[in-house]
Amino acid sequence: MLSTFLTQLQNYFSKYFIIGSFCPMLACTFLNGFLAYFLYGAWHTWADANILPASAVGGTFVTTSIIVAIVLAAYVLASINMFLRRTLEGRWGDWLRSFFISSQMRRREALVARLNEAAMDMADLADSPNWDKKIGDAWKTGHQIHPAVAWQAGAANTAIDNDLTDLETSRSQGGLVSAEVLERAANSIARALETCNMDISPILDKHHRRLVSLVQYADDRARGRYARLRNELNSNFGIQEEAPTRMGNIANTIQGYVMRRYHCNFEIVWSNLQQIVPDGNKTGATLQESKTQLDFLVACCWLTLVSAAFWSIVFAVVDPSRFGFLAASIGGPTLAYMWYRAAAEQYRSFADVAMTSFDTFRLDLLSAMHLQLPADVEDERYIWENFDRLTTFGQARNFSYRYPKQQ
Amino acid sequence: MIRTERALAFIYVAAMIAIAIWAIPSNDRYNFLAVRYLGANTRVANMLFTKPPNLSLAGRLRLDRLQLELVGKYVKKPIKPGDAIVPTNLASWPDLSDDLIPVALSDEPDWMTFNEGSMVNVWKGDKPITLHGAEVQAIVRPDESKKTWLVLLRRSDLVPDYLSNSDLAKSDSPVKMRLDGLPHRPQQPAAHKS
Repeated sequence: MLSTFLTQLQNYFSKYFIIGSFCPMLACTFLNGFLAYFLYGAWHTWADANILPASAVGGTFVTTSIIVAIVLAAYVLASINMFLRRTLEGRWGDWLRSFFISSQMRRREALVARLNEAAMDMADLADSPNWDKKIGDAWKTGHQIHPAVAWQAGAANTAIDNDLTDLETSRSQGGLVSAEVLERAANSIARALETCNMDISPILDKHHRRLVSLVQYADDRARGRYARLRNELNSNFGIQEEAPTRMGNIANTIQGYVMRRYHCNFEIVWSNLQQIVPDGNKTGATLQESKTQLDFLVACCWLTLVSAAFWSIVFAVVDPSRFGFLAASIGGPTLAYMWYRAAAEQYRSFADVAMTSFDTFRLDLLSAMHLQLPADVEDERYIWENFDRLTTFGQARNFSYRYPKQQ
Repeated sequence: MIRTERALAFIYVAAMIAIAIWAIPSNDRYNFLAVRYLGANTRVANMLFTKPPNLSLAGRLRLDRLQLELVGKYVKKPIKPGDAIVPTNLASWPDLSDDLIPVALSDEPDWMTFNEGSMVNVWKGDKPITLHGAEVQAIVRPDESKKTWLVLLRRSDLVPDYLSNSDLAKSDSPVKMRLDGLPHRPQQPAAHKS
């Protein structure tokens, strides 16, 4: 019966509504009812008499009524989904925002500090060609002045070997290879080369090759780390003021990206963009799927919280139970937090799709608004900036409309 | 530095634990009351207990759950009429002495009248096998899937040669049992169980 009902439901509502709102509400109702079934004899008896024997006429009527009620509740949930999502994004009052925002600021600062550290590593390693030159010059000097002198293993050799071994150990553990230690080893090798002929000093030659390999690793690692941290920063924080929640900051990344790349205020063109993306287009489907998954997770998060609050009250007042109260009041919010974190990650995915959609369809959007297509990047930024000033601030900015040529 | 969210989470959890310990009353105080004296090894049935008057919603919910837990259990220590039947005073099997003789019963008895402490007379065919009536020590069902119940009687209450008398022991005559006395509170509890 349920499958028939769901098929009929799909005729009236979109699959996005069914997945994003109806399914969470159905699951929530079922799980709460299931829990109550084992806890409360009266509900157990009523459910046995009215819901479970679906073959009975009365049972079918009650079950259908319950599903209709769930559909209505899901519809309400879908209606307020944006409000619920914005609440998770941290669209709160100033007092509450200021209370939580410092934590997000610290998180951002820690990320920026790590990014700066990676940038410093890269800058330090940018000197590596100079180390090569110094070694090359030292090799020439040693070759000319001491053509018959071979490098003798001693204290200096041990110091170079120790430095290189430490760095290789760090490399084997995927760790940081310090530019400072690399430079010290390069200088030691250069000093050693000035005192002998490397062509007849295989130990020194081996040290040099080890150093080159380590420099290459350090450079690759620093660049990779910098890129990763930059991406992490860009996918976690926008360029506007911080939001008080993780999800809010991820939401800001869409605006941040579009502003950084195109100087465009994404919020004022988002609705237009959704109109532009064709229904049958893969990007449009991906955008909707991604949004539906986000709605689903947001709904699950709130329904878990509401259920936890309900059972907390039940176990505190109606049917006192310390264990039940602790399970509901601590376990419920923990589960809701897990939903929230999943939703935040899904928001990242949605943000990626939204950014890609803008990349792909921004020129179509300008065409649809009968605005002239830009000639280059600077021209495009100029158009979007002026469009923002006209739309957001009402400033006098003039655009010449372009109409499609008549066939 | 401790982040705001972690500090709040810690405070919240501490507050919930504090509420659970100090603000939420234990609902162990809600219990069914015995409608009559229930001696040790009495099998608990619905008719043997009642809900206290003026019960709150919390109490009713607790007792609804508790009812399933009580029925079919055996009383460990005697309960006076009107006293609470607490789950910790119940066991899933009676505490029996060794010197007992089982007598089969084909139907479930009326637990109010036929339970531990009831006085019975037993015949095999037309021969009585009890001396002056026997006191039921417990009624058990060894196999929950079958309808057969066993009434456990003291060996000393039966005719001495019941088990040794081949006529009685091997006879195919059906065993008949008659209730001769309702369960009662013993006058001398210390001497009640031998």
